[in-house]
Amino acid sequence: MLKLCRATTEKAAKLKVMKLDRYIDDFIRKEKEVEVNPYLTTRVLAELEKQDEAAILRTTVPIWKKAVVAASIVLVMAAGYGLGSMVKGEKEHIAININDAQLENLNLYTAIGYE
Amino acid sequence: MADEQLIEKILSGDREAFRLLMEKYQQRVFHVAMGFVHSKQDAEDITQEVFIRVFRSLESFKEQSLFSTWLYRITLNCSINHVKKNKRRNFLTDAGEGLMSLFNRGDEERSAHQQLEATEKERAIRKAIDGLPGKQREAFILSKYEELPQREIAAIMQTTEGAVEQLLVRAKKQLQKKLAHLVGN
Repeated sequence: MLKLCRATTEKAAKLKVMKLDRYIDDFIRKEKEVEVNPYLTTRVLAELEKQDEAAILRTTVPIWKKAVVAASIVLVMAAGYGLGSMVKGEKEHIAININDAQLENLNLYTAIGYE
Repeated sequence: MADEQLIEKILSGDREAFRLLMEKYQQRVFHVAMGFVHSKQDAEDITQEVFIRVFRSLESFKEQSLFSTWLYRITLNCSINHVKKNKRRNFLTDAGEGLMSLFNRGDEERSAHQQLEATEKERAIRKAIDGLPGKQREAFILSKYEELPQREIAAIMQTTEGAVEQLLVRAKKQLQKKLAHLVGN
């Protein structure tokens, strides 16, 4: 009786393992059914070409040219800053009249006490 | 055309030969990548990266091993790197999928329940495979997704056949332990 019980337990355990294996195999089979994009080859070749072009550009533009461009940018920025600093002092004397009452000053028409 | 001939042509600048080589192996690379990332988009990105790397380093291929062995080795490296890079994103995707599976329940409760159960089962299996220790995972994927013989897996992983066998046995045991709840304890 005990032997039979043990045999049944072992069989049940084996069945569980088999069931689990089937689950895993089904999952893997499903993933393997996914087809790769037919245009992947074209995509890879295009990427290679793009990388090649970038490499050519990197090698054909000499380092001194890049330095000149960088220096020009710095120079333009410095010049802009310098010009901006020059007009800073003038700004203090400019006043903007934003008072509506003064925009149409009635004294201009009556001329009383205008002079 | 044999791999050696194709490689020779590629090295002499023949892009068409590279296209042929890619067409020959891309599905295999894609399968292995799928084993690691379980997503078509990501697996395609890995496949692209693998072939770009192959093209760039083909000169260093010494033909001491089979081209396929070398290719699989690159695929493993790229896949592992990709997984490491996207660890955080994968966590978010997992959480999102869990929520989606709850919201996507249909009107018919029974079929929705079955669908949910199937999704949960797949998620558990995916998580269990992803949770395998590095070498076990590599051996398991090469064996199950590519059905490679242990001899070839050993060559790819630069180890012995015995070690591969051990890894596969351990991987299987780990999966059974982790997924026991799917078949009732």
